[in-house]
Amino acid sequence: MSALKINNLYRYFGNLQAVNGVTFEIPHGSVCGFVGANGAGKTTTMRILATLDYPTLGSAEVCGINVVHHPAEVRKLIGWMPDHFGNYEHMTVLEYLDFYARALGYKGKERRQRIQEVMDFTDLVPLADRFSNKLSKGMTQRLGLGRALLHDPQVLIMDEPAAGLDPKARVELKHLIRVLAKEGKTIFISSHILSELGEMCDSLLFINNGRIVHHGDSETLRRGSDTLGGVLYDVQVDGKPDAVSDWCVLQPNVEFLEARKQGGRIRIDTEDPTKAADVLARMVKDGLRITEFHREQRNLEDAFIDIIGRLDSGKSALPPPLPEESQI
Amino acid sequence: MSLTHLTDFPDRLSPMLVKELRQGMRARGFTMLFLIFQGLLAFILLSAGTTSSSDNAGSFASGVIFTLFAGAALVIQPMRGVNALSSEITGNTIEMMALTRLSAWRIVFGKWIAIVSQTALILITIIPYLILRYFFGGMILLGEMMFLTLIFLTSMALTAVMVGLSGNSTKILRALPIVGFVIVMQALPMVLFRGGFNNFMDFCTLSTWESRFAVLAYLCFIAYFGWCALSFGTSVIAPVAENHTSTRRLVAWVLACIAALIGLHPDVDDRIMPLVFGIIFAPAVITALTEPNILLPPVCQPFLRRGLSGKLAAIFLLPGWPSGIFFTALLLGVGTAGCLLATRSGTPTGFDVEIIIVCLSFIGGVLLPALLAAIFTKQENKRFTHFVVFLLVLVIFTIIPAIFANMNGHEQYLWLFAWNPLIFLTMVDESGFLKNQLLNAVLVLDSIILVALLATACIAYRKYRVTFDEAEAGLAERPLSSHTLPES
Repeated sequence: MSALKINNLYRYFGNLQAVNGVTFEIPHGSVCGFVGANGAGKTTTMRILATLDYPTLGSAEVCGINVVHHPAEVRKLIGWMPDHFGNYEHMTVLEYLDFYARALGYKGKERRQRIQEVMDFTDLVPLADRFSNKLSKGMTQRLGLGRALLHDPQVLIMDEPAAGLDPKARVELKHLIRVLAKEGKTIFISSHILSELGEMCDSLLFINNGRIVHHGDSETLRRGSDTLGGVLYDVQVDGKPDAVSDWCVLQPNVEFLEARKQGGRIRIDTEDPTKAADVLARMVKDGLRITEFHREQRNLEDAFIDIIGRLDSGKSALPPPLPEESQI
Repeated sequence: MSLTHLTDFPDRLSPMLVKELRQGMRARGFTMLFLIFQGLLAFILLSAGTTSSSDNAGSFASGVIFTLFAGAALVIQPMRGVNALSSEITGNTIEMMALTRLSAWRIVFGKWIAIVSQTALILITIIPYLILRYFFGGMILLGEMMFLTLIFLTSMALTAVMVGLSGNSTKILRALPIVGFVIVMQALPMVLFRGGFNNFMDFCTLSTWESRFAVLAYLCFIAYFGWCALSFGTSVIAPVAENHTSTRRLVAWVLACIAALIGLHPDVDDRIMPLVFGIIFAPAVITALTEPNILLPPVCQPFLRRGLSGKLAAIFLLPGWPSGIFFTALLLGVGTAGCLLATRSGTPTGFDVEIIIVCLSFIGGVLLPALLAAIFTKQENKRFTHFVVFLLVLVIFTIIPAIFANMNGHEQYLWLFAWNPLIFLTMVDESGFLKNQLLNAVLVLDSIILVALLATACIAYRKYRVTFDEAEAGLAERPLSSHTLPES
């Protein structure tokens, strides 16, 4: 049985199709990253799984339990951490956790013990007497994680937990997620930072315009994206940085991907290294003062942009080469 | 950190109450109110003790105590509930709570009981002043205690209204009751100091059967009204898979049946019965006509399990304004049948044409805003707000033409506004109209509105078919194989 299973899910808000026939499964104990542009349908899908919204059509299950028909049972199994949540005035961190522990049905010694465990895990002990609405973003996220973990849920659904965090807080959060994953919890996490998801997640789900366009592990995704062909190079020049993009416009088989400080990132549409040498030679011949020219590894952002780009240009999404262990 | 600090409230208390009390006791609003209240009472009573003549010192002291307590309990404390639910909704904390074992009802009830317990704290602290007042003499012990109790119970109901409405997203709507509170606040000292206090005391001593019955009826009224308000607030924050509507409508029916039985007693004046039924059904009908039209399979399943009778009951008891319209139509049908039956069986109904016109005006005054809301409201969660706005527009279109008609003496000019059922409330008082003509006009108008409402309800109700199919599939425990998309 899968930890999370969504089958042909639709969600309309008036005429807006937020989720448009989404189907996927996530096995127990895995960490799955959920990636998509703003408005792609990530939050709506996650909210439906968390029983906070309802599908227009289709079904969603957590550990085999339908979220619409048995929301109370589902809530016992999930921990939900939204991207933003308010804290209470005049309430300390300790009282905040105490309130939720009481609301979850913990009593007496067991309640205090559970709060202690969660505070130890999320390193909230030094903040116990601070008012919960006076915390930094990073501290607030740790408090949110603590709240979500109070009832020791099997599945953790986290919507953009790293949004707005400074690098230190991001590293701390990543560490906590890794520990939870080692404990065998199923984690479904959305983020814009694909490199972080790639490190943490067993599989990645890409969603675009309410549809799943790819599901696989990060390595397969990189390889799958490579089937587009080409090799990426970082080109730095002395002089006008726009020179690289201007030069690429006129070149066949060379695509300018993104601007960088003194040049940019290009894709040469062939694996053959001699062709890359030819491109470099042409650049020099055309007057570009090259200071750096080196091959780069394809990353998840490239894969994501490739997939979305293909969809936008009317081609079908990548045929997802799903590995057997993560094909769900 | 001290985890022993977490034992300050026992486990048996509601988590919501513990949270609200922890926050509330630290909030400036309550602390300031409490200190100012105590300071004022001490200062004024001590001044009264030294300066007033012994004859009127007692009544003056009572006036001060009751005015201050009524101000705090009937105005300030209920007003503290104005953002009770909206602050949780806008702060994105209500969803966190929804994921715990706290039901929507327990959340709303906890919010309400926290404010009420603070009001009770204020009530307890005036006991020393009442003892002091006893020594001024002339105290009607039973009457004053009953009066204090009634103020406290009214405060509970008003707090429930504020908490219930506080889930609404429109600030103006949430603040509307405050206008009423301000009027009460201004009128209160005049009532309590100018002879009104003694009248209240006579009433509160419960010396006659009439006063006992009136107090009992008042208590029933505020209890029901308070419950309705909290139930409304619960509906606003509850997950859409929960059904709080059917209970509200069934309770209204049960109470109406009890009221009808009481009404059969020969000593009961028939003319008050429309008012009683109006009070019972107004909250149920208004909420029924303005509920969001969102229906999920789990809500339908309890009805579908009961076969044909369940499906029939669903037409009138399902959440959402379409079934709310059917519920209202059924209510009007039963009411009309009851009146006709009473008339034919020779029971002296005591209804005259004027009362019937007034009743029909009020009914139309509720139905027309509901029809406009059904036609023009696109956002489901704004339906109640739009209803109130349309109702206010009708009230304005009643008051202004009435003023003009009175100023110019052209009563017939009011016919121009006969599209507004509330205008008949003013026309019925004017001498220039034939009562039967007015009765026919308001009857035709109400019928047109009701037919239009039923038509919109039928169209909306037909769209439930997909949800019913899904609910039946869920009952049969078979997978949902057909995924035909409904019209978006």
